[in-house]
Amino acid sequence: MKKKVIQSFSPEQTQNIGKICSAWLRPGDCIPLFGDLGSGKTCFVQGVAKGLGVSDSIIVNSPSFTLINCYEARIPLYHIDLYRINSEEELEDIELMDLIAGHCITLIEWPQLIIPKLHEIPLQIDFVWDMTSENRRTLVFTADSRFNDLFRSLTNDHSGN
Amino acid sequence: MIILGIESSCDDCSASIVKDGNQVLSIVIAGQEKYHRKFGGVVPEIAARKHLEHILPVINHSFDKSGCTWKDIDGIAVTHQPGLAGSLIVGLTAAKTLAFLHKKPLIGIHHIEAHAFSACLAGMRYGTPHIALVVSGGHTSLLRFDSEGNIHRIGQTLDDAAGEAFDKVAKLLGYGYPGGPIIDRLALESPATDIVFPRPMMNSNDFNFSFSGLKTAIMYYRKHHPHTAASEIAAAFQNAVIEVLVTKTLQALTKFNLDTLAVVGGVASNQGLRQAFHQMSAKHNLELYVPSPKLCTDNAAMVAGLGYYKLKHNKTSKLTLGIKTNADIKN
Ligand SMILES: Nc1ncnc2c1ncn2[C@@H]1O[C@H](COP(=O)(O)OP(=O)(O)OP(=O)(O)O)[C@@H](O)[C@H]1O
Ligand SMILES: [Mg+2]
Repeated sequence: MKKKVIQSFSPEQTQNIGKICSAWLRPGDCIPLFGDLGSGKTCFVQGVAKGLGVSDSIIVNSPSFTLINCYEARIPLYHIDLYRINSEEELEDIELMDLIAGHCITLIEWPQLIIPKLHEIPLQIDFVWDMTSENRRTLVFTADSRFNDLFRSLTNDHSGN
Repeated sequence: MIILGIESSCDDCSASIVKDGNQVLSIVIAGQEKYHRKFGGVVPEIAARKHLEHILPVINHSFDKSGCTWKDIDGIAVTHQPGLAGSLIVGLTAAKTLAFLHKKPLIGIHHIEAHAFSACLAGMRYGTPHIALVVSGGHTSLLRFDSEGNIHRIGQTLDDAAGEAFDKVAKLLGYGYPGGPIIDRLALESPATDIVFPRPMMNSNDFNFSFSGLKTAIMYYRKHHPHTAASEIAAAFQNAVIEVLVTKTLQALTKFNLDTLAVVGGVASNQGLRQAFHQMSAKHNLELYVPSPKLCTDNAAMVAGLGYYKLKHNKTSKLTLGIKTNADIKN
């Protein structure tokens, strides 16, 4: 597993990083997004959705209450958020694992409880906001070699495009 | 006509019996009242299994409280979209089975349309052209109802829903769940505050909302002003949310030249919000309908009430009716 650390200085940059990532995601990928409240996970997913070709008229908003939102795209996108799920029992109860399908890309906010159930984690991202500045976020990517090219294309210069 | 309503689209499981679209004969919400439960044991707080345990006792209790029997019932209305798969299926399966068993018409209901309908349980005439603000944990939408009864969504949140913002901010301030009532109480207790948090998208020239920035504004403020009382921050937060909701709703009423307003959904039970909308309506001569707090949260009375009008217009469903979930494609 390799690591790559990248800084974002605006929501637009974080979305753009998501957009860049989307090009390297494949059907069946299940990507956990770690990070505290307000660290930019949903913002990142908005960029992935854009990159996958989700129509501009479709709003990608937070699934914290709905638990799951689904978007039609070049590869269908599931956006899951387990913020409200407090136990393994509750997780079982909402039958999410049945939804995580081979033909979709699944991005999961607040993924702690589901991690033991994932067969593989080709890529995970940790969003860090140290609150020294209002808009700076650090994104830590951890991935297998499949994402070497992504790591090369993620530079702090490009994130502003 | 008397309709049995069933609602189990998300966390709450509810049954209600409503006469002629607006007389609530009974309303039962799982967990809020004592009634006989057939099964024991620990069940999850969220969704499906809890509903499975509650659904039949809740329906039975709604009959007991109303004094009705099956021969009084003219139709069964049930929420079948949108929501969580496991939750919706429990309510829909119960409704379909009972409709088949007792030979009653089945009426499939859209959860958001039912919320908007709850204004009619607060006295609004069904069919009145109006703007509805639907504010809850999962939704923040402005809907326009035209004179033909068609519904147009004119705006929604681009990120967090208003109720979600309340819950997350309560958590940030160290309080529990659900955050709405806690913030509301703190805001009432707090003296006037000078803190001004941003009013996101207040002048965006559309009817969309954005509340995720408030959550970060508060985290940042708290980090850099650790000695400010949580109640003062709660009050400043609530002021910001309310001002945006009131301002954009007024903009919508003005743009579409309407003078009737419905404020519905769980967040509509917030006292500060109710007060602000009452003031705004008095000032601008609007007719305002806000359901009682019990009818603001997810409940089956709004489903049964709307079901009455659907049945009256022969908009019934087949017994093959299916669910539409959050996992279905958004459009
Ligand atoms: N560099 C940045 N990257 C991402 N978001 C930023 C950045 N700077 C500021 N922000 C703001 O921070 C907020 C991030 O909120 P977002 O809802 O995306 O976080 P989240 O991690 O999904 O939180 P939650 O745990 O509540 O779901 C947004 O309001 C966004 O505008
Ligand atoms: Mg989020």
